[in-house]
Order: sequence, then C-alpha cells, then structure tokens
Amino acid sequence: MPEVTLGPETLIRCLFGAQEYLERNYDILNNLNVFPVPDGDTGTNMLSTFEAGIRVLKSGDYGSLGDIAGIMNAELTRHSRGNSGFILARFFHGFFEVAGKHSSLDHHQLADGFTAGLFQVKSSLFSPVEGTMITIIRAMEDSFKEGDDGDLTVSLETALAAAREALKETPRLLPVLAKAGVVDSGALGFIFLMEGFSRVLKGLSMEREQEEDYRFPPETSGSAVVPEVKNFGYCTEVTILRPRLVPREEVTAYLETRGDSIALVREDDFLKVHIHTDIPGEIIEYMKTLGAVEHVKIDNLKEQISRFSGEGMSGDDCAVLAFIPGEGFREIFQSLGVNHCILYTSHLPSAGEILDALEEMPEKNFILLPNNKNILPAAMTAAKKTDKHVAVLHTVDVVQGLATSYGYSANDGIDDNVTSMKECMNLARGIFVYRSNAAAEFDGRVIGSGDYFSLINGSLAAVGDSLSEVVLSSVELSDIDGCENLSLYYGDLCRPEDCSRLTEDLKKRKEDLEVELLAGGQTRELLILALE
Amino acid sequence: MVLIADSACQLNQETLKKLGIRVVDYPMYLNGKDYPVSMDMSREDKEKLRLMLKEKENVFSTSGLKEEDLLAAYREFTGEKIISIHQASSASTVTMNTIKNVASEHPDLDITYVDAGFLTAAYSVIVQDVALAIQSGASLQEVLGLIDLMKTSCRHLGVVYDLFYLHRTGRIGLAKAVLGTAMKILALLSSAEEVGTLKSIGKAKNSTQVNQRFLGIIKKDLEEKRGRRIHAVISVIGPHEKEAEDLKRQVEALDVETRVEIHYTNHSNMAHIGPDFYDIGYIVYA
Repeated sequence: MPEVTLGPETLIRCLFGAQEYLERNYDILNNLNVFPVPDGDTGTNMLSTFEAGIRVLKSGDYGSLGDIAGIMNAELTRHSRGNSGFILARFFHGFFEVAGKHSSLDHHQLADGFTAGLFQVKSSLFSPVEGTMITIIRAMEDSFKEGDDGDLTVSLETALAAAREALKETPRLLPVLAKAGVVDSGALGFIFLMEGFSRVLKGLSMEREQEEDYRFPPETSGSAVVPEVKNFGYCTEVTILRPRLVPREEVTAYLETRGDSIALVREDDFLKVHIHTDIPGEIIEYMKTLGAVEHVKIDNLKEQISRFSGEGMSGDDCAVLAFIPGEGFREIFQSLGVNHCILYTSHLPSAGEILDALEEMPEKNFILLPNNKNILPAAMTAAKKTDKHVAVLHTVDVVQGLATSYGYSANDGIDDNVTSMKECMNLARGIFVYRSNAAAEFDGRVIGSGDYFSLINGSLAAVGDSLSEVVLSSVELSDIDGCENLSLYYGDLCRPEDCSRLTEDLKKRKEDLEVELLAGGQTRELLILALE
Repeated sequence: MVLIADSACQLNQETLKKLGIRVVDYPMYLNGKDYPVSMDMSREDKEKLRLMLKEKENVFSTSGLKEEDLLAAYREFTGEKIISIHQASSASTVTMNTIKNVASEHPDLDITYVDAGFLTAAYSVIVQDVALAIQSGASLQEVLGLIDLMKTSCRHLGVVYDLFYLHRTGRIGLAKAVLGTAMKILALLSSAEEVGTLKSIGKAKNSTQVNQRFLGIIKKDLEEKRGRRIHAVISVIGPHEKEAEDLKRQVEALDVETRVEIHYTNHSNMAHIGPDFYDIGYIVYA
C-alpha cells in the first residue's frame, strides 16, 4: 500500500529514525566540518539540537501533529547549538508551523512545510549562504513542488535523490569546501536526517555511512578562490525572555558590525541570537538591555579549531617571528609552523622597525628568532619596549633558527614553546660560503680577491678558488658523525646549475648523508649549508 | 577472566597468543569497498596494503567494530568474565556504543568495557600490561585499578613521515602538508591532555632528531613521576625498523628497569596515519 499521508504515529517513528541515522553518522559531519569555521562540531551540534526534541517526544504520548509540532518547535529553538543547530531549528520551526495545523500530512503539505522551513531559515540568517543546508532544503522543496508521486515514500525518495545531487554542488558554490576536498557538513547532516526519516517509511534499517564517500581530491589549482574571512574568536548564543519591542533593524545594525555567522530568532516570548564575535561580553551586555537573559553559551572557536586540527592556536596565542636573509627561507620556516617572517638584506632591521612590526601583528605573545647576531640586540630592545609578551631566543644564524623552529608547536603557550625550542637550538650546524670581493686577511689567513671561503662558528674554515673544493673541504672539516642530512641553500649570487652539480658530487662522496638543494635567495652568502 | 582487544592494538600474533588476548578486527574499506584484513595478515600482505596506501588516489577508511564480530568473540567466552578493552573511545564512538549495546542486550555475557584512553602503541602497552596482570591472577577490581593507574602514567609519541595523511584526516592544511613533505619535514605527535587525542609537538628533519626529542620527553616523564620502571611498545609502519631499534636501544640505556618491544604495525592504523610512521607508547611506573 502506498503511503499517502503521514499521521502522528508514523511521523514520530520517522523523526526517531532521523535521529538514529544522524546519531550513527554525526562524527562524519564533525570530520568534514570546514565552514563557516573548521571547529569539528557540526555533527555534535545538529545531533544535540535535534535530540532535544526527540527526548521529549520519547518521554510522552503525543497524539496529534499539533502536539508534536509544539514540542519540536519549542525544544529545538531553545536548545539549538551552533550555526548548524540554529539553521536546523529554524527549518523545523517553519515546517512544524505548517504541519501542526493538520491532522496528517500529504505530499502538498510536506511541500508547504519545506517552503515554510526554508523561509524561516532565510529570514533568521543575516547572510544566507548557498552551498550549505539552505541549498539542500531548496532542492528538496523544488522536488516536492515538481509533482505528486501519489506515494509519500516515493516523493521523499525523489526529493532525497535531488538533495544528494545538490550536495555534490556545494563545493562549487562554496570554494572553501573545494579547497578542503569535502562537501558541506551541515548540508550532509540534513540529508542524514532525511535519510533516516525516509528509511522508516521504506522499512529499511539504519546504516553507518562512509566518510570517504563525501571527500574528493582538494582543489589545488587556485581556481577555487576562497574569500578572506575574518576568524572571530567566540561562538556566542544569548536567549532573552520577554524581549522589549525593539525594531529588528536596530538589533541587526548592532550585530552586523560586531561579528559574522549571525542569526536571530524572535518569538512572542523570547529572542535568541547566534553570532561569531571577538566581544562576547559586549554582546551579552547589549542583550541585557533588550530583556531578561535566560541562557548564554560561549564557545572558544580557536580552541575548538585547535582541538579539532591538532595544530591550531593555543589559548595564549603564541606566534613566532623569524628574521630571514632570503625570500626562499620564508616557505621553509612556514613549513615548520612559523607564522611571520621579516626579510632582511644588507639593511638590518632597527629596534623601532621590529617594534612597529610587533605592534601590527594580531598575536599577543611572540617568540623572536633574530637568526643573526647583529639583529639580536635590536630584537631584545624591541622586546623590552613592547607591551606584548615577547621572548627572544638567541639564534645567531638562519640554520640555528630553522633547528630552533623544530621545537615550536602552535598547541602550546609561550613558556612551553621556549623550553622546547631551546632544546632544539643545536640540532643543526651551519657552514656559510662566500666569495671575496677584494684580497683580505682573516683569522691569520690570506683570502685572495675572487676566492671562495667558508665560515664555521664564525671562524674561517676553508679558502680556495673553486667553489666545490671549498664546500667539500668545509664538509670534511665538520664533524659529521651522527649527521643524516645536508641541506644546501643557494643564494641569489649562485647559479642553480652549479649548485646542482655540486649537490650530485656531494651525494656521491657522502653516501651516508641525504643531500638536498633548496633556494634560499640570500644575498650575502653564496651557499648556506645545514648539517643535521 | 579473559581479555578482548581490537586491531588498533599493535602487538604481534605471537605476543597476543602468548598473552591470551582475543582481538576483534576493525573493518577496512578501500575506495568505499570492503578490503579483506585480519590480525593474521602476513608481513607481505601488510606491505602490499602499505604500498597501495602510498598511492594517494586510493582512499582507505575504517568504521566501528561490527556488532556480529564482537558478539562472536564474546560468545567464545560465555560464562567467563570478559574485559573488553579498546582504543580511546574518541577515536571510535560507534565501537563504544556498539559494545555497550551488546552488553545490555546480552545479560548472559559478563562484559566489562574499558576505554583505554590511548591509541596505537600506547593502547598496545596498556593491553599488554593488563594481560600480564590477568595472567598473574589479578582480580577484576585489581585490573581496573591498574588500568586507571596506567592511564595517568602513559604517554604516546609518534612521528609521521608523510604529512599528506595528517591533511586527509583534517589535522593540517593541504598547503602545509605539501610543503612539509617536500621539505622532508617530519611531524612529531604526542598524546594530548584531552584523552584519546594527539597533538603536534613540533617537527624534525631526521630520525636522530626525532629520537633525541622523544628521549628528552621520556626522561622528563621519568623525572616528574619518579619512575623506576618503564614498559614500552614501539610500533612501526614502513621501512623504519632501524629508527625504532635505535629508539629502543636509547630507552634501554636509561638508568631504570625497562621492557621495550618493537612490533610491526597491524593494518588498522594505516588508514589514519599513513604508510610511513613509528610511534612509542610507554608507561612509567614509580
């Protein structure tokens, strides 16, 4: 027998099925969560929001759609969590406003419910974004409107197929998803709910889905342009009871300048606001002027991101600023997690310039890596003058700076990082190769004009008229016992093809070392060698 | 009393047999389809799996332990006290819920579920010490007390050679993964304060540096906990047995009583950590 209408009993079973399917798969949503904030809680928030209604339905006996609608409306709205929970609650608010007026639901009323749900979602969000749950709800609404299959089971299956097609579009609509190689997690969460709903009607059991089905190769070509997004620190939700009559525009204007991901719900007896902001305290104070605060929830988004990613910023926000002698070192430092680099050439930065740079950077705690003994005094002066918490590690060259960076972890605060980074300071040793512009005497030895020479620990190591001989002699002079890697960073004055030949030669002569050639871009040294 | 664990446990077949540990396998999927795995897999089959994993277009994944597999394992021990000890529930909520369901739906089975709170090598060393305690005749209460103690004294350290897999599991961005791998940067991980999670503790360029960092952390733990004994399991994926041996030697050279074992990894870790990895899980006893 085709299922033509949904009565209260069937609807409750379908809602329970929706909850069960989401519960089985919500962790997939957490793992896929990158928008609006990659904090890994979409699944948890959606489940928690939906469960609030289901819990009450399970505890009582509700014989009419009006009863069910009343419960779902009240509970989901009050207990909605996070951006995704908020949107979900608004959808069901609209849906149940329609459903609650009927004794059972047919195809057309289901369609009307989706229309009302979509309207509620769009009107409560300040900036509705396509490529999210909204796109899925619209796809299902369109499918319902396209025609009546005469069987709700078939109608829902058709709408669900349309939703899954729309889900594939979410990375195209939201470039941040394409970059991450995932579909939108909130959109998928809505599909999970509808899948559970539909499976009850079809008599199918609930299943565990595969996360990999919703991942694809990330867009790396650069064609997916991700708009710059300000990362606010706190997900803030405030509910107030008996709000005074204030024009929506006034609240809107206030919130819009103080954060994003804003949603606002106003009912007769309460007003609920969701916002990602840096000033949760101020938002709460403002809300107090509108009525009696019933509930406040503040989540630290950076901590959530940190917990989820395993490498996000810590609560005390410790960044590293490294001074680099060539542009090529920027990428290398960045690969080690170093947040900021300042390039120096023949002009070394003054204390004032370092101070200005520190003031411009958003972080409050810094570890400075001068990477040059002549920058060290200026760095120490700047550290004393700034109001920020700055530790200066006495790295005297870029090789030591790189080794020191091995100890940095964005998960830890400044004190732990200083300890760990100090432990790494001597993990690498540098050999610095130059070409003399004029004849000179150094360390009691004569260097002819045009000669190549190398320094190890500030002392002259090798001199000669052949670059490769000077490099090989320098390596021989170094204690390479226990060393596994030799990295050659070539400067702007060095021809890459000469360096490639030299690298191959070194590989043959030093078979125990893994030798690699990288572009350092420094202007003073022809080559900087790191032994580690 | 019997011990049931899951295939996140890195102990080899011989050790598992000797300690009487029954293991339930995590299912594995290759590009969404079942991929046959078991704890009995030969080293060659594991290597074949590892090489397939190195092909970046192949996507391996796992899901929670299957109810029927768990029930079959439990049924083998009907009438006995069963300790079902599993890797941190944060890594598989589904497994935890499934076990709890099985336990409540089958009251004839005497199952005590234990969340080890740790992953891979650290989970393995806990399993190993629990099995030894059972073999020495400890009661259920004593075993549970011992587990609580171990969880406060256990640490997990690991090194990942190919950062692509940290990206795939959402732990680092793609750009950083590509850059880091191109620069041959190794990522060091440690168990975090939050139970069952790993955090980045920095980077290294080679295994000498890795082991030096690990040993520094181990020494600090021994000092802080006034440790006199250390039990460790080192698990290896890929051609890193030499590095693991070196770490083992350095730990054994510490001035405390040590028991350190190296085990070539079981399959279930590979989907998450990648094809090149070694880690150490250790418990410091005062």
